[in-house]
Amino acid sequence: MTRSSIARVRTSLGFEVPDVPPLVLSLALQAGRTTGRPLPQLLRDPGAFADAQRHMHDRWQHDIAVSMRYAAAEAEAFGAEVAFYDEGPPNVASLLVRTPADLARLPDPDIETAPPLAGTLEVVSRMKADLAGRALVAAVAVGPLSGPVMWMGMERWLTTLMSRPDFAEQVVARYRAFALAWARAQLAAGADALIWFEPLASTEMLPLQVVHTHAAPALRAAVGLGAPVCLHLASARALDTVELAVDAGVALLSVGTLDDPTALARAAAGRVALLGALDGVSMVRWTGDEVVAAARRDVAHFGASGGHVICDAHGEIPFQVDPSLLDSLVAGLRGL
Amino acid sequence: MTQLNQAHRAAWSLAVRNIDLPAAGAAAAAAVADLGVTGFGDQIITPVLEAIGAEWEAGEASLAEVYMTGRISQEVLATLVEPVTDAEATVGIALLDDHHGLGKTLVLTALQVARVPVVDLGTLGARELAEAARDRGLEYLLISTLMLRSALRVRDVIDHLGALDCPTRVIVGGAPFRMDPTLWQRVGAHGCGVDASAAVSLVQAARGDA
Repeated sequence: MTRSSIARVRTSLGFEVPDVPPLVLSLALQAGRTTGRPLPQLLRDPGAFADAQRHMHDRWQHDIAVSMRYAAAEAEAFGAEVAFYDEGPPNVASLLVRTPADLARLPDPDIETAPPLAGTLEVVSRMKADLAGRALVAAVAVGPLSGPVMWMGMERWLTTLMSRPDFAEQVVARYRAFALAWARAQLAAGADALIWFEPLASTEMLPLQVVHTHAAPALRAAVGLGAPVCLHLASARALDTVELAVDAGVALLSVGTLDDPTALARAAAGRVALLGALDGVSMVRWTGDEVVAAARRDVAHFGASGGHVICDAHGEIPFQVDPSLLDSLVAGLRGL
Repeated sequence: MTQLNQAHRAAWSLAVRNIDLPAAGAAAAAAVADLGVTGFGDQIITPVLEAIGAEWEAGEASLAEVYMTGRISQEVLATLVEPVTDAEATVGIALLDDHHGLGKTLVLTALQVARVPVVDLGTLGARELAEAARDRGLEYLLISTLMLRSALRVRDVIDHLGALDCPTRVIVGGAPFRMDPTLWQRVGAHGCGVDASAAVSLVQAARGDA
């Protein structure tokens, strides 16, 4: 029988069945919902954000707490404008790179002092201190196949990847250096695990060869940083990415909303644990019974022999989800 | 499908899948010589776009391949015919307070290939979108979304259209509506296209084009 969050996660990642299914909650948006503070203000205030995470952990006792405030902070650190919203995640609102000359001119941020990144490092340190021994803290870094979307926009980046391989490699190399330094800094600040957020590493987004060429080297390097790594595809299909994840030594791979659960569970069994896959969109309208039923389905599909951590599929619980739904989820999981 | 059409479609499909613009141009020229520009659009470009879109839905092609196929189709078509003017368009397409434009581009391309006049309204808020629909006398407003926040705000557009007594029909699409097939009805939309081809089919059917 395992009881602590750390032991529970370790048991499941070791492909044994823990006392109850481990739970990851990524609660940047729920921080606004539960505190009642305007989300743009809260996301820019590391101290208040960390306080909100502590209060939410007191309430839900999740096994892994995610320290990310907003992914667009990475582009913001390079100089991009970011649009904040009251009821959703911030988006990059200005693009930085159109040409190789733009890339060459792009100054590297100082990770320790650039406010969007330094603020998150402060959150990591605070959460590590606040949750010590009670939960693992997982930091997030966007991978170099996906991060350039925030520099270039999706259309320009896809066109570059598909038709300008030399320029694509330059962009990936530049983002890879940043992503690894950013991940290393968050681990040094106290993070226990790393979520490598790489949605474009799904064949739902790019051909497999492109994924392997541009995502694999950085993923292996991220695993080499020494902390357990979760490869997160943000609800995109994961089946074709299993081999990439296994080869790199990834501990956890996110499940896609449209994945065939039987095929994915079979491909991953005993090789890489699976994360997910509660649909955050449907969660907005679910009742407490429905979210527990969905979690039970996921456990039956992916966790019958361990090797499964429950989480939403996309990477953060939407603002629109009523916090009482998470009360129901937690109560239901503890009763499984 | 005739053997001739089959050969043209195979040549075009191979060229666009390989992102080979010169080969696509050659395949287009050969097809237009036999089928005319309209035949090339209807019998070659549109079915290939639909096939690749269906492959994406089935997990057999990537979004990048869908996008590049549409982009090449649009580029080649632009060399053959004048762009469809939006001056008399009764179909509009927009993002709702969002910065993710790929889905809109995919639908816009499919509409242009199908020679459906469409006006691109860019990115607007709910009230501005409803007012634009009224001012332009749009019959159909297509809203592409990626973020759940934007998808839920379609309800605001519907409410503003009602307040303006504007009869524009709203068709939605994008990831949130694919993940939750009931969402489009719950936000009050009049239709939902699961992909670009489906959105075009909805518009064509409603307009009596197909």
